[in-house]
Amino acid sequence: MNNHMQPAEISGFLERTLLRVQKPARYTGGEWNAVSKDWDATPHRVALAFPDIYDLGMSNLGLAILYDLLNKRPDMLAERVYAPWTDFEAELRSAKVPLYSLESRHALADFDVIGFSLPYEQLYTNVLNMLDLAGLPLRAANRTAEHPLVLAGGSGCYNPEPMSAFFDAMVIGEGEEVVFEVVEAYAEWRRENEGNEGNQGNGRSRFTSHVSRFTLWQRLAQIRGVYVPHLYAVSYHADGTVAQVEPIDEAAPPSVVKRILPTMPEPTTNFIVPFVDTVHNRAAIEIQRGCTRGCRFCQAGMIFRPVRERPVQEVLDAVDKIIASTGFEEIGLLSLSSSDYSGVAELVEAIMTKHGDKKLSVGLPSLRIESFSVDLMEQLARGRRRSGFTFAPEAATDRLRDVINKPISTEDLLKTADEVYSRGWTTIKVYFMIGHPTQTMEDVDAIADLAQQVLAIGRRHIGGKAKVRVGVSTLVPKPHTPFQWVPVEDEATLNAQIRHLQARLRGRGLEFSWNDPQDTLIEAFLSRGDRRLSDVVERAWQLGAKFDGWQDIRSYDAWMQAFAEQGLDPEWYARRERKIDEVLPWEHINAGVSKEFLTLDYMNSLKGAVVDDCREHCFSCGILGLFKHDRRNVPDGAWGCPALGRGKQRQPVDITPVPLYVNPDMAPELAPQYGPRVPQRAGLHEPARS
Amino acid sequence: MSVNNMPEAAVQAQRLRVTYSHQGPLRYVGHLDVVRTWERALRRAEVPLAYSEGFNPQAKLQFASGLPLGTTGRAEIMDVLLTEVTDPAEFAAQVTPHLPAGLAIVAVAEAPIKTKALQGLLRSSDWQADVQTDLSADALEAKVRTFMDSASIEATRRRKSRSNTYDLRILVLNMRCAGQAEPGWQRLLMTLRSEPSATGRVDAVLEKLDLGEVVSRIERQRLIFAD
Repeated sequence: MNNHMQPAEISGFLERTLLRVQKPARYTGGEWNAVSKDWDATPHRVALAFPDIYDLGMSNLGLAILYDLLNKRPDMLAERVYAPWTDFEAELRSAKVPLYSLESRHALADFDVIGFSLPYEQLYTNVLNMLDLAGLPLRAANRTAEHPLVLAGGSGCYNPEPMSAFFDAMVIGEGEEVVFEVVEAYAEWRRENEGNEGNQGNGRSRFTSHVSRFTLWQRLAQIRGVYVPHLYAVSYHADGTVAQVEPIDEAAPPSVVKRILPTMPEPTTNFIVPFVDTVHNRAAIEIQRGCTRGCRFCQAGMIFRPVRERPVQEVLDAVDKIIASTGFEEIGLLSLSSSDYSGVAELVEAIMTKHGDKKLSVGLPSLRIESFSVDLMEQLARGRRRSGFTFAPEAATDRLRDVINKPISTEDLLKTADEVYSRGWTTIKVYFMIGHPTQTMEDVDAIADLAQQVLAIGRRHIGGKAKVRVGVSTLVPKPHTPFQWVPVEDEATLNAQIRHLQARLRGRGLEFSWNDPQDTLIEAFLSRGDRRLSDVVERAWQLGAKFDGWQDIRSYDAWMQAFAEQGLDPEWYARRERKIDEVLPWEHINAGVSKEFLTLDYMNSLKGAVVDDCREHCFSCGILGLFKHDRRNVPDGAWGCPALGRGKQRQPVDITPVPLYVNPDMAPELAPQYGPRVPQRAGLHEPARS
Repeated sequence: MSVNNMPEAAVQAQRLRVTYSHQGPLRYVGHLDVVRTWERALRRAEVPLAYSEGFNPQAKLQFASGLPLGTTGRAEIMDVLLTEVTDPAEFAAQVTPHLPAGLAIVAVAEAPIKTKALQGLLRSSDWQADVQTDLSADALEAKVRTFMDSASIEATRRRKSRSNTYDLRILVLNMRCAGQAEPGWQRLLMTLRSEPSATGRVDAVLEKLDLGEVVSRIERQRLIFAD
């Protein structure tokens, strides 16, 4: 393969090939709002890569934000690249054409920087496949100074170890500022090391021959939030657990602290408008970052702290700009918990008053299960068809919801279901997880009971039209959450639970979907693994693993063979209960939430002790201590965390997570000290029940 | 309008007949996606689009004929229904800056608000097909002559699991060679029937011309309607 093939040659290949593949517009570029800059006149060139197909990658907000920011800089350009679907991959390989960017059709190897988004584990093998399609060495250690800098960002980087061999550097946390620091550091390193030894093939001078990538790594490691795995050594105990992760170079900090922005960045508004249908064919505005609810299974709720709200007016201005610049019919207002956005009612009313007649539909995901949410959805739906309403109680009994710190009551859930069906919706989707710690078959059975109860309510209002869709996924305890020590439920138990639910969730009006326990295992070892998994990932890819999130393509056998060949055990990574004092493979990554806090909150979970939303009561998770400087520089109301300084009005602060109440079935001896079961933020929308 | 009302019924005040070219990346976009691409461009341009009523309001755009994937069009036609009367030239000026690469307005004219659907009025269309081939002009000419001299040519149309045979010859009203388009490329011009129940496809014709696996550039040049 000529990995520096010229754009004109690539275009010729496309003309010969595209009509043979599915959805060829995935591979052409040229969409509205795509930015095509002058390649030769722009010194710093970044490829933004999403390791899944166009249809999914185009919906990734993180990359859309970086694309916009980078292209606004006159000296930089950013272009997109996605994983080709298998048919187009075969065409690329047989014609020996390298993977190329959609905008200018330059081969990936001709970029300065390739930044991969790593939002979830099932995409890891696709990263290797894309590097291979670009004709680049997979491992950072095998790349020379002439190769592009290969980066990763996104929540997958919070346990960087399984993919650590393949990236030069991995960005921990929010990328909007650090991306420039990395591109500039690379450029500076290049400038200092470039010689005059002729042309590299992409219009660049060759490096003087002795330059090694090591000096680039040293430079990158000094940027806050940038983890350079190759500057750390990992040692192991005889039992296979990690003994120590230690920097081997002065440039590398012992612990890499995530990056955050003190306030929400300006919203992106000039979204690329795809020609073909995509998964979320719409624009999106983050209305809030972070979440204060403290659900113990939720990695996003831990790693995206602190909560920062975007002012209502800023959201409204962004909606106007998006409509004008894209023509999209749909805008998603994104957050981890929309109901907790303090201006949510005002925002919805203002948008519908202004744009209600413009055939705009507005998505507001992650609403709480309460009647207020039904009001909001009703406003948003207006005259449009009301299809599905989504609840995510995640567990079906009050007890288990206390364990996971999502203390909705069954009673409230049913009351809300009644409101939903009575106001004309026909379908309620209910999401649960199985495999929570302390879960029994009774809790699993309760999923079916609850679904039946919801359906009965629907039948009462609308008869046979009522539908309940039950989605059940399996808990994969994620790094940096209070459940990070918990094992994944064993496969036989999961299969028995799924079979039980299958048997009980049959019949008119019920739909049941679940995750294959084999998929869960792949997700689990990739999210909880250590550095040795890089060898497994590479071997699995060689054996054909790719698109691990796609049921028809992913290859479980390839993974099992790769583990066997490396002498490692996937079950050991996924299903071993970890000791509290064990050094976790991701412990040198600091997400801002301290191990002490996570430990105490894990202990609370085993007592069924619920802690309040931390906007009501700060429990010193660690984020504020780490970012107090940033906190001081923003207005008091800008964060969910307490304002700092004397005499500020703020919520109570405790140095440990103190329970709001304790579940009497879990800890009968403790429960009386704490009082009755109450919702979180009891004072907010409704009076506390007795 | 109160928040909980159904959208008001759109009043159609005007029908504009838009002739446009369809090139570039649009070549790889299927017809339904082309419709959405137009709708979004018209929304960006803030023209007073009329929408259908009901739960899922659709912009009232009526296309004469969707282009098959892989082909371009020089003078495609669609009707746009508006809720306010707009000067055709102004409409073109307003919309043009909002069109993606590959779409361009050629002409806009007012049409009677009540009219038969364009689709039903379409009779035939002119096509140009450039094929990359080693065949000499004479050899190609001979193949075209053989095709046109045949009384009937059986072709097969596959749709999902079903396939049915039809006579392709009667769908080809006219076909001739037009010489070399560029070195290595020969040009064919043809007029195909394009009625709802009888639509000829260029790729089917090329297949029956027996040119082997060829790369082609197919463009629809003109849509011809009943008077």
